[in-house]
Amino acid sequence: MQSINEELKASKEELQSANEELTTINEELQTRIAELKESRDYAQAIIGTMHGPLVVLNTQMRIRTANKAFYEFFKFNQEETEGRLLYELHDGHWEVPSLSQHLRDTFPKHNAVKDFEISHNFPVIGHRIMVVNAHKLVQKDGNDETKILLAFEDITRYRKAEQSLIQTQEHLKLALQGGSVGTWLWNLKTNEVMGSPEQASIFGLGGKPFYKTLNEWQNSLYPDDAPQVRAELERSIKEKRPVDMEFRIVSPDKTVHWILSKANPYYDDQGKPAKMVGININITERRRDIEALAESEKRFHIMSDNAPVMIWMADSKGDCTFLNKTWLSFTGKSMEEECGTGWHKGIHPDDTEKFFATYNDAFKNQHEFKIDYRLKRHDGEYRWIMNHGVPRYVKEGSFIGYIGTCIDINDRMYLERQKDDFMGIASHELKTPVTSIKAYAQILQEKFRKANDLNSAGLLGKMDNQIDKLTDLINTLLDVARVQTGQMDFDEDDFDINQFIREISEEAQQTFPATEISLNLQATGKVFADRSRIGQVFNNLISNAHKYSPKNPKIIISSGHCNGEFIMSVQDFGVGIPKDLQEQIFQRFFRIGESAGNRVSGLGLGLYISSQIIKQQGGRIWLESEPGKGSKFSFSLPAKPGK
Amino acid sequence: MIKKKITLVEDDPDILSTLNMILEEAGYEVEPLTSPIPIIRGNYPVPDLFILDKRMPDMDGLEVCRYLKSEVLTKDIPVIIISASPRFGSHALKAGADDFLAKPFQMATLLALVKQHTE
Repeated sequence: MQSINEELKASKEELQSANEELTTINEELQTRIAELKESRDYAQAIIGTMHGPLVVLNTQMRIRTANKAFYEFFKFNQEETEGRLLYELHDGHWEVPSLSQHLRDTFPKHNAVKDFEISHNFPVIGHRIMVVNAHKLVQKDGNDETKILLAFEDITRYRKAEQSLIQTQEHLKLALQGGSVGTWLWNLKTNEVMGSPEQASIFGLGGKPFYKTLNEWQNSLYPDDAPQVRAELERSIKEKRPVDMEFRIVSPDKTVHWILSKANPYYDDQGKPAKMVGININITERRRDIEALAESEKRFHIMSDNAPVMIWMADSKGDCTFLNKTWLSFTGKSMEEECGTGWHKGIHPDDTEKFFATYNDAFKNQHEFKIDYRLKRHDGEYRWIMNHGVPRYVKEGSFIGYIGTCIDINDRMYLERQKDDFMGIASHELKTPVTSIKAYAQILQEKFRKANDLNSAGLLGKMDNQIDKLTDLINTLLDVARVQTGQMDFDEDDFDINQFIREISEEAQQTFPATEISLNLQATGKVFADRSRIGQVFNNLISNAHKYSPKNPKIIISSGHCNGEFIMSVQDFGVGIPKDLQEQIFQRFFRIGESAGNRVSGLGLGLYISSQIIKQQGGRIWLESEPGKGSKFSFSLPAKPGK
Repeated sequence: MIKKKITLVEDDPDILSTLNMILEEAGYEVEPLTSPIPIIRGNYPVPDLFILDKRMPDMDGLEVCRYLKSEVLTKDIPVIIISASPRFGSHALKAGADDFLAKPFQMATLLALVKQHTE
């Protein structure tokens, strides 16, 4: 009994202790539950405050819950998402095939998805690059369901920045390679010089990275340039300013290269020089071009300074940029005084207007020009010079200005003037004895006729005719002298052009009785011109037409209007003029040569004088001709209103 | 019949004597002068016609003509100007001359003009 009692007692104690234990366990359990709840709340609080979007899905991918960031980031409402399939969100726009596949296939195996990157065009927020992490959550709460936590991280900006950085680096690399630019770093503490493969290739070391000690590097400098380079680098470090210099280096194969070097020194926290970083550019070819250019320019200057002519150059605006020594010693001025517009001062005031009319017009139209004007010499005397300018273009064809030459034509002009003066005086003086001779011849002719010696009278008549021819020649020379000295005078008046042509034609018919002269007069009204000078032109054209039509003596004189001008023509059906001579025919002393088999007398001045008369009367003179068919000379006169 | 009087001014003596001879032979009374100075001074018999050379050392024929045409005594007397330059015809007429003849000329032309202006 006692033993039973003891056993019972023991059992009771055991029970009691078990009960105590149970209570403890229960208490512990309560605590655990509280802890668990706290931990779940804590976890949810963490999820809720997470900055990145988080979403909790069940295994069917239905959304259970999501944090605030998720709604904010993807611009959802809670009602729109809860209980919905992830892929259905936003009318199916959330269907990201790679993510779906990943969650379906990979996730069950590992119960996680790590750093999975997706690039997707999301509704509302647009294209994004996201990193997705997924974890399996096993929650032993009421419904004991497996859940998936999906965390998104937006790395769009980072990726874009990265891409643009890569691009920039690529561009830089290309630029450095393309421009043969080498980059280098000189550690001022260890005196090591490191460089890019381009730097190595500039130094003739192939495409390997560049590494040298300072001494090695300095040994590759061209000996003549080395001291200067060293000094410049030291100065830069000492004075804390960038380096910008050109120097030569010698490659292992002994070739010399020109290098442009730009660098900056850097200092450590204590302000001590730490390193120098810079670039090198191979400018050998550019230097060669510059040297070739400098050589060519030097050669040009030597040539031009020793040329007997004055040489000038101007830019596209007409400002002078260069004058050779010959010019400067002529004007007695310095290059500085004459360049730009300084040279304008030397032009004779009376010639300034004419000069700039020609000069400015040439620059405007970019055509060659020639002009005679007076330029002041160093001794103050104005000398006539002939200036000949031609436009200059660079390779691509753009206009860059003019280059011109000038020669002193003063002496030549003076001699020509003297000659012209002489011609004027001589012609005039010739007239006096001719007048006497003509008078004597006529007196004698009259005497013989009275004495009935008709034979002698006839000879004297022929002599008289020859004197008339001589007179014509003298008149021609006189006119040329006048044209040359600019002394041809005009007495302008209104006269009826057709009436005038009829008179001319009647006279001509008397002079050339064998020639058939017909008229075709279409013009009406009066011209305002020098009647006798125009008569001279007609007579010249008619006598030429007669001279050059020995076999077919027929002349048509016509008049008409064209563009408000009077047009007069004299047409023959004679030998004609070859095309290549037609241009020169109005030049002084030009004659259709004996080569054509036409031995025709004359000085070759008639058409020259005629063209000068017409020109000074404001008209033009021209010719249409075909060898063997004849010529048609025409001239125009402006229809000026009469006084 | 009274002979018509002509005052002939020409600086070249040969031409002067030749013209003198021709005109006298044609029946005119000629006062030959190598310079127009006597005319300006009024030191000459007033003629029926003046024949003046254009280019003379002392004075230009056109000037002499203008002078004559401005004087009451001579303004109605015809003036013929002769010149080596055929261009001076219009100048001569502007200076008041009645006619112009370019040197060298046909004697017949001269005589015809003289006749025309003296009748």
